[in-house]
Amino acid sequence: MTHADDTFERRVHAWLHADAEHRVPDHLDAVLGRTSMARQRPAWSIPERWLPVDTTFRPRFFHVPEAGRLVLVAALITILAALLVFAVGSRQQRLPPPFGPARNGIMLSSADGDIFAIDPSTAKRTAIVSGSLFEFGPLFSRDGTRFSFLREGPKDCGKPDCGLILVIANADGSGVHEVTPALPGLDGVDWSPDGTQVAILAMAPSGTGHVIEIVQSDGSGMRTIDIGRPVHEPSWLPPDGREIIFRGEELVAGDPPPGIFAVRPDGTGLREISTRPAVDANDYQGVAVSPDGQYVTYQDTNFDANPPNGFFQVHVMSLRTGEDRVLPQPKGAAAMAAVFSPDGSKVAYLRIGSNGLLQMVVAPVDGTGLGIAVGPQARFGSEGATINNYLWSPDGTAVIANYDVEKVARLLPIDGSAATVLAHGELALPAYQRLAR
Amino acid sequence: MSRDLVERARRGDHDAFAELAAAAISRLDATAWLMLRDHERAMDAVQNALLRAWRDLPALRDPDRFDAWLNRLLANACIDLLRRDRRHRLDVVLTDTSPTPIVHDETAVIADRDELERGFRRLGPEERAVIVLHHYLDLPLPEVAATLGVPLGTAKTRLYRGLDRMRAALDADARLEPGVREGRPS
Repeated sequence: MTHADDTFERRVHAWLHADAEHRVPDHLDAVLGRTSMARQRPAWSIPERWLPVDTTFRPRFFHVPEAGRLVLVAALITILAALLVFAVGSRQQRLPPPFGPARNGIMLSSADGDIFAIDPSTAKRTAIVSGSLFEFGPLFSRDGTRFSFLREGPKDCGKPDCGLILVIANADGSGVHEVTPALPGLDGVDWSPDGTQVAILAMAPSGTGHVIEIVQSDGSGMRTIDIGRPVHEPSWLPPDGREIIFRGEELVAGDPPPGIFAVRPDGTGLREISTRPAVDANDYQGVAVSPDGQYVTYQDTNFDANPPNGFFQVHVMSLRTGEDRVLPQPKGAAAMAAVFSPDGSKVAYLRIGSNGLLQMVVAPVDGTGLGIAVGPQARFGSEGATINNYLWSPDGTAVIANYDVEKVARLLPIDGSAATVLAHGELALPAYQRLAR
Repeated sequence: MSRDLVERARRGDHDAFAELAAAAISRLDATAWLMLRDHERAMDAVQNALLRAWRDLPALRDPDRFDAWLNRLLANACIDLLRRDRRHRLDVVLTDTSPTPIVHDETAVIADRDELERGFRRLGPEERAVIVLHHYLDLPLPEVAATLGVPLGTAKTRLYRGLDRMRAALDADARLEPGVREGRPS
């Protein structure tokens, strides 16, 4: 290096230091607010540290799709007509029960800020809520007559997080109305059995973690259930929704250990459902309730099986007796994030095989078998699991799952027949309309 | 940086992580600003890096490497933002059309910060990262290479090529009429 080079480098060096010295970062609180809302991923779920058993999986309730190219399929008149027939028919005919098997209706999903309907039989899709606003995350009411979705709040609120708005519409996309103001941290939407209320998560007043908000679906108001600790994964307890089941989180020092709890929608009657002390702050994740209200599933880490990182394992616990069983896995495999079938006899979950690949599996709830693999395998991505946002079809014959790497949503029949691609593009959590049988 | 704090944060103690973040944020913010030259995007990069750090902290093998790991997360966040941004911007490349070598006083050419900034803005994301890590964070080149996950030779090449390109840009600026220079997109 020449003397001139040294001089130039010294100038660059001095310029960089002078240019940076007056920086006063003022966004630490905003950053910590975001980190306090996020859960840590167990070490073994991170690709750089992959051991052939692992995984953490946090279902991305409302994964906001990145703005990107996504050409909407031209609206087909016949599909629109079919949508109207479905919607009108579902109102005129008897409604399905809030839980249990039902007839399959249309599917909803979102991409590029619009909500669209997918006809599962043809994979054709039609935009039903679109425009300049960014909208995503549709979820049908349990009787299939309405759906909720999230709308991006105003960008000029002057805060780091301007929040999201809960919006409700009729099944055909008509009657769109906002039922909440813009709420930071809005997540985890679940309709009550009778459709009059929606439980959501919103950022706690302290700025750390979430509280439950009970929103009137007609937009007449909302109330907060703040039990004094962060909560997550709320769901109405079948069959009548007299309680809401949720995960109590341990986010900061001083929070009690995690566990599964129930509380009445009016905020009274808080009780703990989990029956053993939490192993660590990541215990009792992936809480879901069976359609008959008899069981709850969750996941924890079996450290004994693979020290020091452990294996994720799926539990099914009886809400009546407290009996807690671990679903069996092949040697060297881990499992996570189970969801109950409509009849409550099976669960679908993600298995991480000893080869390190992800696989959707359907297995009996009673633990009598290892289950069957459905759909293709997938690798982990830089953000963790690449099979996400899965749910059962209302008739219980198939599982729908997003494969993030390929950017497709697949219909995975549980009878072992071939999977089909329902939609291409970066998709949010799909929703499946329930119709009376 | 306290090893104990890192260990506590790895086990999910958010208060410990808050202390680590508070200790690091000035460095991170300045580094991001220097690389990105944009206040809002620097905030985004710092937020993304710290969020990623919190989420993936359990995977950090060596707590003593926390600061280096954080630097890596931030550098990657900045590079990602720069690459994304470059897809949407028209990059204007200046060509030196002067047929004769120009003898100049290099000290005079780089005398003002605006000129240095204009030269720096013409660098690619990877060159910016190497220069900031080496000349602002004062990381030795092997550490820069490790931070960016590239071979040492690559880090050296990026550093010297980046400085050369800055120097060439300053030379070109010095030969242009002021009116022309001010009207050019950067």
